[in-house]
Amino acid sequence: MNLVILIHLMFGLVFLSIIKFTVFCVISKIQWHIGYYLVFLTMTMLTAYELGVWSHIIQVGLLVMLGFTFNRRAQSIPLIYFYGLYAVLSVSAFGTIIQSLGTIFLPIKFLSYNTTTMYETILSPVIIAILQYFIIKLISPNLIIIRKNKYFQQNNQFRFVNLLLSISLLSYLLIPLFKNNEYKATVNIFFAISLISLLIYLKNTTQNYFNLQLAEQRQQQLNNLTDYTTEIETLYKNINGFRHDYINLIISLETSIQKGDIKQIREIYNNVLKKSPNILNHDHYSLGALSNITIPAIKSLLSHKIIYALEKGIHTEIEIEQQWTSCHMDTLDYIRILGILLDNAIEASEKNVNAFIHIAVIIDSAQKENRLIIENATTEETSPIHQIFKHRVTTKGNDHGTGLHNVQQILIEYEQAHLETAHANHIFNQTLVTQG
Amino acid sequence: MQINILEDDIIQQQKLKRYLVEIMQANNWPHQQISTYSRPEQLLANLTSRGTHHIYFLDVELKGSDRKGFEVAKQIREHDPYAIIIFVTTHSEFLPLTFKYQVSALDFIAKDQDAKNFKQQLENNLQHIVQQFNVDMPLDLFQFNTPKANFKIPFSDILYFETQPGTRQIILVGMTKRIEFTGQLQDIATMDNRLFRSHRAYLVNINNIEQIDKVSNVIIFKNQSTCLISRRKVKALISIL
Repeated sequence: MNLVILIHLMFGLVFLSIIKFTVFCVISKIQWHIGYYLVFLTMTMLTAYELGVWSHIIQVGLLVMLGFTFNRRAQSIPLIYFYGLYAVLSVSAFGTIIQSLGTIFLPIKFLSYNTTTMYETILSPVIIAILQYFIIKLISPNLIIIRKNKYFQQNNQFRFVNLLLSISLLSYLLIPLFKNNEYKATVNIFFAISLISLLIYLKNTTQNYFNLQLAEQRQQQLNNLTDYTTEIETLYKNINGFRHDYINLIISLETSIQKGDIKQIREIYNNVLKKSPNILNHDHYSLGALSNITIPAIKSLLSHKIIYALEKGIHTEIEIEQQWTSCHMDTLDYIRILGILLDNAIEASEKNVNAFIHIAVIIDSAQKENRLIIENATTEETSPIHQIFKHRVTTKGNDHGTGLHNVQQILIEYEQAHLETAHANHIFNQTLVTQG
Repeated sequence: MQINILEDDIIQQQKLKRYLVEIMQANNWPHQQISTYSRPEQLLANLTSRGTHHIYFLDVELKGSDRKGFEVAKQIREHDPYAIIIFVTTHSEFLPLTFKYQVSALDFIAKDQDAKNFKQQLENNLQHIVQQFNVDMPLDLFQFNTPKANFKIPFSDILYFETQPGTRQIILVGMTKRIEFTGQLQDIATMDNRLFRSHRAYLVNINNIEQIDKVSNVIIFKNQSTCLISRRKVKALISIL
């Protein structure tokens, strides 16, 4: 009998620790690794034997340490603490609640001892796992937003949620001291409240933030597109003006030809017609390529940056052959990367006399692949490019390096995107390839 | 050198041919023949042998289609990966980056520039081709082809691969290039036996190592970049080198 109970207990412990570890890995985006899990399991067992319920605190500590090793750079301490705390607390709390519900609803008196143990060690972990699955599915989009914004991780509301969860965990640990069902019920209710406030917090703040950002983006887009329209209108007026002149020229040429006045014909050709390629090949006409973009946010950003570069006197060209309908990535993330790459190109061109920026988007719809190429001229022939991606290395005393570091952080989330950087023959080239 | 010209305007076609003959005679460069075509089908029908001695001068806008020359270039490229393609066209028709990437065009020569510059640019291109022709060897390419990323790079340009532990993000650090993609170091290590796993986070190209600093456990590469080597791998690496 004792052996059976022991096996049951072991089974429950292993099962629960798998759930805790997995929940932690999923929400903190760490790869599930059997080695680390075994360490976690061993420590859990040892401390459970030595410390009883207090081992939960050790478990939280272990998970936080694990998160800290892998995510120190990308994620802040409160966030990693939250992951560890949530993983351990939610599993234990659900366990206690399910157990309590079991005592209320299951006619334990009529069941054999074995059945109740079965309920506690096998059925309840399964229920916990299912519950966790749905909760994580529900909150993961919000967690992603929090992960990407350091501001949320540092703010007081997030600390408050952490505090509530910590109190919940402590109260659970105190249950065996009181051996009192009313206390247990109170703790359960307290946990339920904490969990609900967590959910409300996640939904609310991220939603607000999202709306705010969206509104800002829209406004920005509108401004950029207005600039774009104005620019296109100017170009249209130029072309129209040229057409008018051109018709007049043809008429005077015709007269001269009829008169056989070769001198006048030559004069008209040299003075006016030979210069027309200059008017027609004017930089600003490359804006026409933007008509192939069907994603307003990208069109707006590109037109804004190109007009800005042209105003700075940088020779800028853009090539887009096909219809650009998808960037195979979250549009906001794509825009952030695009903005950083273009800003860098413009910045590097500012002090260069022969500055030019070439942009190309090559779309392979069969392979579902987008290739964005941004090239700019540099005064240096080449440079150690790997350095500029590291932390806050910068070539010009401002944010050059920080920008590329951010690009790298965004790309970690996308397995099917890759970035090529090259610097040779006075040309700095960034190629971002995204696949759908 | 076997030169082919595709241009539907006969005057420009003959002008280009005349320039080429003049340049080659002035420099004493050997050439077998210059073939001129005004219709894409004629040129495509005559695609036979392959190699860097085939040079194609293509106009982009041909009768009936404003990107026809580009389509022709794609077909030439499919037929012959080593052929040299140069576009001769007006400025507004050319898409330098797109053409360079999709058909590896060598250059673009603008028709709408004065004769002197036009000829000079032609000469520069031929000069480059003649020089390359003597040194050209089949490139030793490292090809990476997975559903997550595909690219190729000359093997001799690779210095090392770096990964951030815990992520699946890999950075290829080359002489003048850097590529960031998703993959696993151990998979890449099996792709070429000149790659050596010097550290948990690094895989190095042994051909580009200049020296090993045993005091600080650092590998120094030909262009003075460095990466880490773990103490217990030093011996193994020295024995390979």
